[in-house]
Amino acid sequence: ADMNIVYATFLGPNASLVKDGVVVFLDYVKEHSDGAIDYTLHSGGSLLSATGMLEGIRDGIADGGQILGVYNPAELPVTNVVMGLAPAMTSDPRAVAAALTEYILLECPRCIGEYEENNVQYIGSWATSRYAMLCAAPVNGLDSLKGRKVRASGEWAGIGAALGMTPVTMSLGDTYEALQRGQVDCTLGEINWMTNNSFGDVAKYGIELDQGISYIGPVFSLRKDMWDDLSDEHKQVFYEGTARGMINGAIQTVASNQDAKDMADEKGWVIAPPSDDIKEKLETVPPKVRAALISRSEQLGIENSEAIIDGFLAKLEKWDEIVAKTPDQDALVEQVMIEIYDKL
Amino acid sequence: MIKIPELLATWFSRGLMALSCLALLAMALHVTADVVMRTFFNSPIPGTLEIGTHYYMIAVSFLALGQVQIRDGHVAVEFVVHSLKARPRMVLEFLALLVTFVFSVIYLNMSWVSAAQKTARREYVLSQDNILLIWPSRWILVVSVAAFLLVLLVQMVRMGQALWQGHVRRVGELMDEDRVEPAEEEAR
Amino acid sequence: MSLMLIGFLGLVALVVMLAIRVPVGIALSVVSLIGITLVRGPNAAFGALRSLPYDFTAVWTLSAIPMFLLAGSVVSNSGMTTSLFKAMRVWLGWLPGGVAVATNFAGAGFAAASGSSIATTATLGRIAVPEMLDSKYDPGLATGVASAVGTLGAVIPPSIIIVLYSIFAQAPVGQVLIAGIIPGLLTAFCYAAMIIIRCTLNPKLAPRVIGPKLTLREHLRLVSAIWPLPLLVLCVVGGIYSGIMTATEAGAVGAVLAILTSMLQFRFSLTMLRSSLIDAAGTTASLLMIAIGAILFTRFLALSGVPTILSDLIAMNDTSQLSIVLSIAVVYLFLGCFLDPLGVLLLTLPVLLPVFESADINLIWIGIILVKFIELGMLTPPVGLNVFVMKGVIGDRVSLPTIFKGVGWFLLAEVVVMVLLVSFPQITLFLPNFME
Ligand code: NA
Ligand code: NA
Repeated sequence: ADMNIVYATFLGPNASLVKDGVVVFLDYVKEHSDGAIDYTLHSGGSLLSATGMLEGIRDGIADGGQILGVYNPAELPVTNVVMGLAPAMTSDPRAVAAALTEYILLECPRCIGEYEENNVQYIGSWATSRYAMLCAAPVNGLDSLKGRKVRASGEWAGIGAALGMTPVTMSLGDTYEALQRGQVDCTLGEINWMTNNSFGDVAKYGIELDQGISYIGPVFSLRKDMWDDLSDEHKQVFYEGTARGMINGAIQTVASNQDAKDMADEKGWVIAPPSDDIKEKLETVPPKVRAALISRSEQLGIENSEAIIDGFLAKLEKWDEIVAKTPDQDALVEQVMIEIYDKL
Repeated sequence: MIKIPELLATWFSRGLMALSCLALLAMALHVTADVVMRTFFNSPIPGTLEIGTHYYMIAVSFLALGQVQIRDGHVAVEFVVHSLKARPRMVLEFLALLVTFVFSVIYLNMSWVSAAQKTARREYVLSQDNILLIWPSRWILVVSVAAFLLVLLVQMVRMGQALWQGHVRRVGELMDEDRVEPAEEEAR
Repeated sequence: MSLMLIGFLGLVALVVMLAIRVPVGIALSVVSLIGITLVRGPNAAFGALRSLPYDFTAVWTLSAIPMFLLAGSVVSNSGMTTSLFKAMRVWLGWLPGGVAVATNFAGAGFAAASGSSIATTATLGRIAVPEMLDSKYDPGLATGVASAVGTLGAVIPPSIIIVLYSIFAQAPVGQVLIAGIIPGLLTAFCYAAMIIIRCTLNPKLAPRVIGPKLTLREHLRLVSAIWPLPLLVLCVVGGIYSGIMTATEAGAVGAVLAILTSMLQFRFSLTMLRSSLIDAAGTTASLLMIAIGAILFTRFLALSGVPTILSDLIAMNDTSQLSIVLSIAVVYLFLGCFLDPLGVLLLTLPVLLPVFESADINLIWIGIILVKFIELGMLTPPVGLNVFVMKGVIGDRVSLPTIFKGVGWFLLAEVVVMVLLVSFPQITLFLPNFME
């Protein structure tokens, strides 16, 4: 191959985001570039950690990677306004990923600008499934949550507070033991954490809040100076690979929630929908998240945060509809190409 | 002439070491208080993890660099130089100081550039809903490496002098202000 | 120049720099910077130096290291350990190598409290080694036992490295943690047996400490002088297991408890506190310097592809469990000569996990085997992190070659342990299976 892309992820090779998203993208690029492009994947933070990813790509340690925007709030201020809505999200992850990608690529020159300043070519985003409340002790209904300690960092604390819980900031590495030993009673996370992070060993009780999605900045990206040297045909291949990785990743992460649910009886897990009083409280979260986000943006001197938020939400509404009437995976990939990448 | 830089390096390093000790103590007390508040009053102290990560850890990990170098406390492999006579040993030690010095010049430059960038962007992290500015902690690294570099510079000059004048010295004795002047011994 | 050649030249350059007494952390960093420049250009190298030291250090789980160091230096500087070993001389001195045996089991206790083998080693280096040296123990034996038993810190739960492994391998964290208990204790017993046999054959290694016959009252006085130490360990371990604090927080609480008990025993003074803080801060700074160098070097090697080549060699061989285990032994002991444990883990898991999967190897069992091998790498020259920590703590009293020599005997005991663990997976899997 003429070109070998050094790609970095901070999640391990078995994480759905990597194996069903990033690898699908990279394999597509490799297969469709007529042998011109190959890649080396350094997963699990072996080349760059989550906090060092953006700078690592900027300086050329890697050629591309999984950038977690929330770790670079100062470098990516506008992106972080868009991503600050995370605890308020109730859409399908396919819609969120596509909406974020379209908004940034087609309507947010300030976003593109902040990536370019860091020598990053944004190509596409990815979204997790909707969050659940995973608890060590049986829970049902609002009263059972009241006063319990929940691991919820940053803007996610709002969900915990709305449910009358005490939000605790804790690193993910400490959370398993903390749940096991009762330093926290619950954590916010995806149902598939029960299998993937083996949280199911210690948090056997899940309430599907179906609210809150992490949509992690540019998961598909390339060093800007490398991108600029690519031919148009090759850029097209990167777009096509991204569309596939994005949609497949979102579908697989939801599927892995179902896998966990299928295992529930065998493992002794109880995964339940939220009671009405919980739903009621959750509805109070989005307006608060929005208000907090706007006031924080003012404090940080980010202009027009309301317009940014509304611009993204308009895209989200559009993609909610597209996703609802396009259940087929390939057809949805086609829609992503038509609605986003063909317009570039 | 080297007296003034030496005094500067000594007191700079001592001051930073004192700050490092304070950070260590504050970290122990702060985290313990957080555990107590969370366990008995169900109200953890907000920001413990973020302040601990971005201020205490950085202070405790870097501020003592200079003072450790004064005592020659950075871990090195001794077994080769151990078997040498005084003069060749001192030549190798001078070389090692030089390599370390050159590295620390680049290190200082890089941490300075990084700190300036983060300052310009007003780097912060979110702690619950609050903004915690963390760019100031980038400068902890800069002053720590500066002290380290200053100590190395003085040690290099002192080691060079000793070699020139044929005295026997060890790195850890070069600028220990408490030392009794060792009996001037001719290096063979 | 091919990437691989650059990688291997880097290893050679490292050995040369270490030989001329460039500090370990600096040598690792300098070689990495030159290496990354050759592989990815100067921007990448300078970029790594701009961001990595801060990013690597600003990690909450690492805070256990300075905190456990502080707890250890307070206990040591306040003289509590002196009393403990006074008691041990009386109670265990009759055993061949009695104080070393006691250190060994005390170490297993500390290991249970500390998630990090570095912290365990540093604590023991402050508490136990000076006492053994004062009792005229062989310096190699004294420092060897304390360095080697430190590696149990990563095997006996809680263990940061096991939690990380489980997250990467998507293995059940709880079961892997529990799986470490029996192999950890087995190692401690093998160490003890080795010490007793050696000291029986060569009594000069450890002079027997036979005190005068004590009355019951004198025994009680000994107990009253040493109670804070076991209490401290119990509070930390109990605190973690009962769910009051995380393993990370236990370090800080342990340090505060150590200061409080020193006050209760009238051993507290500002001078004592000051020198404890200075000790802990200095050791932390020199440790982090090495760790940063190691992580830079890990990045350089990752880019050069050396670890991938080594791991591919494993996959190429036939995939019987035994040959895989033997291959990873070779790879880990080799990489462990140069890298820090987390670096080795992060580098190799992405390549090894698919191999384990295809050979249908039990992830809990292999996890413990991996951690054991990685920890053994902390004891082998030229870069044995635990040995360096010991050297940093003990200072001029014992030379580095002496410590490595002393540790060599424990590596011999480890051969026995590893043969047992590999031949009988049930030793490792008994407790986790019991959980189900
Ligand atoms: Na442990
Ligand atoms: Na080693």
